[in-house]
Amino acid sequence: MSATTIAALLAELGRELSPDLPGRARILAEVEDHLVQSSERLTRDGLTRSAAEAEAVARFGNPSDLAAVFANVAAAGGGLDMSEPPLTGWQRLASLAALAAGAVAAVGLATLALWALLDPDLTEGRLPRALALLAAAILAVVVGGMLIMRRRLDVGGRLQISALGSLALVPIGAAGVLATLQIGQATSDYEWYGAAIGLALIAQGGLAAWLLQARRRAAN
Amino acid sequence: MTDTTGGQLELLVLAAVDAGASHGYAVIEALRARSGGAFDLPEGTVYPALHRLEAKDLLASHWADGSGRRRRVYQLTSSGRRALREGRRDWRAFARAVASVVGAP
Repeated sequence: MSATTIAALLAELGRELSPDLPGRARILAEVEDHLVQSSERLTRDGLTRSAAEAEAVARFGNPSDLAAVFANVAAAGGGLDMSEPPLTGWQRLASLAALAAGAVAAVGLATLALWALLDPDLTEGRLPRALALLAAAILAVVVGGMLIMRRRLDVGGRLQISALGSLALVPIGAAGVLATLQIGQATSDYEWYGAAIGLALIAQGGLAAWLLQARRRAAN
Repeated sequence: MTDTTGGQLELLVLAAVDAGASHGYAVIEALRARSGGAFDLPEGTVYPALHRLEAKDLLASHWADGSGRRRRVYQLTSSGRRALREGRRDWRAFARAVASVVGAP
């Protein structure tokens, strides 16, 4: 190992760690923090800054060896699952809000689909029956997929699927919103219902996207 | 990286975190200090162990902002506390068994 400065060790470790290694950015950040702490401690103990840095680097060990250990840990399945860092307080609140919005949308869509099936007068409505049924089918696939894969999906995966489901379902709600905007008011309960569902889905999709981004930032 | 802890690094790290060492540098310092210098490991050794323990759900971690720097801090999970209790019990049983054969120190 030739590195004698923190920057050189980090550069060497960065080259040695596979770009695909889970938690790569986190490893580099932790190592940098460690080396800075170690160097500061050695400086307080009386070493010059450059000597302290060189000693901290020497104590840390060989970056190639460390990269190999991390690669072995990941290969053995003991690597970190970076997709699911713990939720912070705000993220928990946002999760609950997303869950509530998703539940409102799911119940609304199921009711809408039933309504479309059972009420023959709706064939002339602004929201075609086929669209409502398609939305319900997508919802069934999303919910069913999440139930079947629940043991294999972490929170991030579930949010991703639910956000995807939300995006697929937004058009039906948007149709209701547009109908309301275009004529100033919804002309039927059916459209009001569509508008409410659309807003719930948009809120849920937005919250899910924010959560995923926040969790990705926390993971790295 | 050579493990001078006799394969007990994960148990030692759990014990260090339980004793209040909340980040990698503090863990390595605690291991060095509490072993009287016997466990003077290459300091990088501790990070794969911390990550392995987190992957096993024995530790949880998050970024904390302090002293103008982001720091990854660790704490025991309930599974980690249970694993540490069991590890201590197994270690004592093992040490007693070795001592009864080799002779008490």
